[in-house]
Amino acid sequence: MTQKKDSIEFRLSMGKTEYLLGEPVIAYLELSNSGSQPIPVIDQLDPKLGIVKFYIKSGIEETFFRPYVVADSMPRKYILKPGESVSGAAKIFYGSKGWSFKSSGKYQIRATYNGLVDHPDEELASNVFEVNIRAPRNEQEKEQVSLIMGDEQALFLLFEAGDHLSNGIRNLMQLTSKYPQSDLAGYANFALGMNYSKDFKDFQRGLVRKADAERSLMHLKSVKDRNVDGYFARQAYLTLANIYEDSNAEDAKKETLNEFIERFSRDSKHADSINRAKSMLGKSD
Amino acid sequence: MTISKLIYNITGALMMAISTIVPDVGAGIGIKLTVDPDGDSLYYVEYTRGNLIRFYLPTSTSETVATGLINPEDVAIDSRTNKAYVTQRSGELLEIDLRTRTKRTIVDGMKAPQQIALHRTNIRGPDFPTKITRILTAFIVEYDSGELTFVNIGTRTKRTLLTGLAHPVGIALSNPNLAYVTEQDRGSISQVNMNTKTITPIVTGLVAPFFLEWDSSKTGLYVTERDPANRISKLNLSTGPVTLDVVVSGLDFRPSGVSKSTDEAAFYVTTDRTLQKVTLRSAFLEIDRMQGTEFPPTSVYFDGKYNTLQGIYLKSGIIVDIRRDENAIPDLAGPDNEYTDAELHNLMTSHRNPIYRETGNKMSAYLVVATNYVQDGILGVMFDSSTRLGCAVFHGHDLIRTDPRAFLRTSAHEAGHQFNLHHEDGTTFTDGGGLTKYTIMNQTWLITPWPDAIGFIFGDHETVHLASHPISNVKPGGGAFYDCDTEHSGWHGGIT
Repeated sequence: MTQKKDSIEFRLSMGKTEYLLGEPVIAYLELSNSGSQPIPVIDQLDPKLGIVKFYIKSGIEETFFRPYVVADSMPRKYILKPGESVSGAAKIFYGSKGWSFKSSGKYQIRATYNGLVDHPDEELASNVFEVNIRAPRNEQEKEQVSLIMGDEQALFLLFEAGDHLSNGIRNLMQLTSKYPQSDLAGYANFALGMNYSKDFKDFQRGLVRKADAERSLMHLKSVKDRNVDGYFARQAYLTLANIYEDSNAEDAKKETLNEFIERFSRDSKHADSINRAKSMLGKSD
Repeated sequence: MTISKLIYNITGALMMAISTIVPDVGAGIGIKLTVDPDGDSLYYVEYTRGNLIRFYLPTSTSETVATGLINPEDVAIDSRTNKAYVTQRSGELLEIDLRTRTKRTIVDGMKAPQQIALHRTNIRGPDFPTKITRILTAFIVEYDSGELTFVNIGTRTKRTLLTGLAHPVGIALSNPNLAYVTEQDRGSISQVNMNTKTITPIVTGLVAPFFLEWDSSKTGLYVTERDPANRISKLNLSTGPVTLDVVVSGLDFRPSGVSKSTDEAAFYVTTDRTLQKVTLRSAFLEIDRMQGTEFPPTSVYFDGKYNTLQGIYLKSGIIVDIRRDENAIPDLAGPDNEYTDAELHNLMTSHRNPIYRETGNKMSAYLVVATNYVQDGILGVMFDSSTRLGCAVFHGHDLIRTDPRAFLRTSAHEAGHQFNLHHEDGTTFTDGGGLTKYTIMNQTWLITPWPDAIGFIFGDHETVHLASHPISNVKPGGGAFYDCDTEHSGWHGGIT
């Protein structure tokens, strides 16, 4: 039997070391095979599957992060070759207990992984990453934070959709209109843009609200110019490129993808997305 | 005086409580709970003392309603007219006015009449054939003659509907043409078709099966089994092949009658010497399904027996009242043929039926069978971990669609999350052949070899939680996922 645990490295990183209260915090995970044997692993690093678990420590109290959605799964099994890595991003800003970072201060974040297919009882521990959640600096920032830190806003950011979350949408819209230059408005515009980029099957109204490319573009374009966490930026870039592709706006698509590659190609957390962007460019060349 | 007995399972988990609420009963037999805005009452008869007793639950006080009865067997109450009907071993059906306490004989000449099933029915009168009159009738089984007798209470007449029952005792009416009857000689519950005059035992091997009581959905029957079993079992009629599960054992000697509370969280049982109350947990499980999907299987034959959602939960102390509700939620998925978290959230907040909301002590869970999820490999989700109000199972997944064992198991698993059970609460056990089995809350991907390693039960930890942790932490809507009794901390991390 090959030795598994020592051959696998499980790393946690964050997009930033400091966030404003109310910023949706994303954790980035990487599972690497540093051994000489291929190892079967579960490569879905989404906390809803329960294979990755997060722990968030503030002061002396460590809290287990409980995702909003919990799944029973038959997850994908993947043979991780020597030297190969798989990565994922996890939205840890909101779970069953509401917002994870409810107040300013230092937080230590760590994760565990138990997706070694042949050894499901083995748990790998990540490094600990410390972030600072800073308090708003003035009244304007305070209002921005209060506009984003509601439960419906959080669900809308988590789902990146949800026409029925009307209170949340209203508050996020207000944030984008009153403080369009703020970074928090960047997240609001992201969620609004992603929502309008696709159809929404609305069971309350019994209809499908069709995607609205124009509205989506309006919101997503503004995300690029804000200092939002990398996950949100990359999703915004790739969604914009898709919309341009669907509307045969080839030049706009190329410009968007090139800008994305230029901004993020040195960040290994986004390697998969960079490859996807390059592939999209290849198709259009 | 109340004497309590706590029933634990073999692992020490508190399953339910049995209280003796009347310690001195003269061979209690028939019992009926009446629901009244001023407070519920129990009416029961004492066979040896010849009394009809009313036990008023709010004050736990008894009053004697009628005396001088001759070996009364059963009592049935017509709330509309405020009258009680009592069978006497000597052959009569009596009517007792609960206001005036006056008695009269409706019919006599029966041979040891037992349980009574009252039924209001429409008839056309002989004088005015076009006029429909609603009359009160009674269906009664006769122990000595083996007959099923129909009594028109208004005209005080009777006629034999069917013969050939083997010492019948209990009866529950499904409709005027179909009844279920306990037969002492066969140790059975038999289905009796009054049109075809056929008697079909549907379950045998019961221990002196006595009176019957419908469950809330009228898809299951509670039956008392006398000594030496001294228990209540439940016959599930909604599950293709009928299944039988023990609800409670350890009752006092010779239980005879059983009457449930509206929320099915309490059962009142007459025994040879006592009146007992059994307290356990109950819950609605509303199930909707989307067009193009199926409801979870009612039963799955595996490991030599039929497994059901009801049976899985009942073994861990919860009576689950399954209500299949909407069966054609429009599939809005379109070409992508999948649903996102946002769309499922929208679905679950818009399709719950308020009829099945939490009432009294009865919890309420919700499961929707949807087509496909936006993410690969997901069999089901518990959707809203902040309040645990809904879950979904994905019929589009090959395993769910093609393997009823997986469908039933994931349905039990996702509902388990709603009752605040966690993956880490799952345990393993070894079956008789030395194979390691995985209990319900283990993730499906852990179960190897599939399907042999499936354990269609909740394990020690899961049962302790379901049966005995604070109801506020167990019930769907009661609080955030993982907020629970610190006992979980001994099993896994993350509990607050």
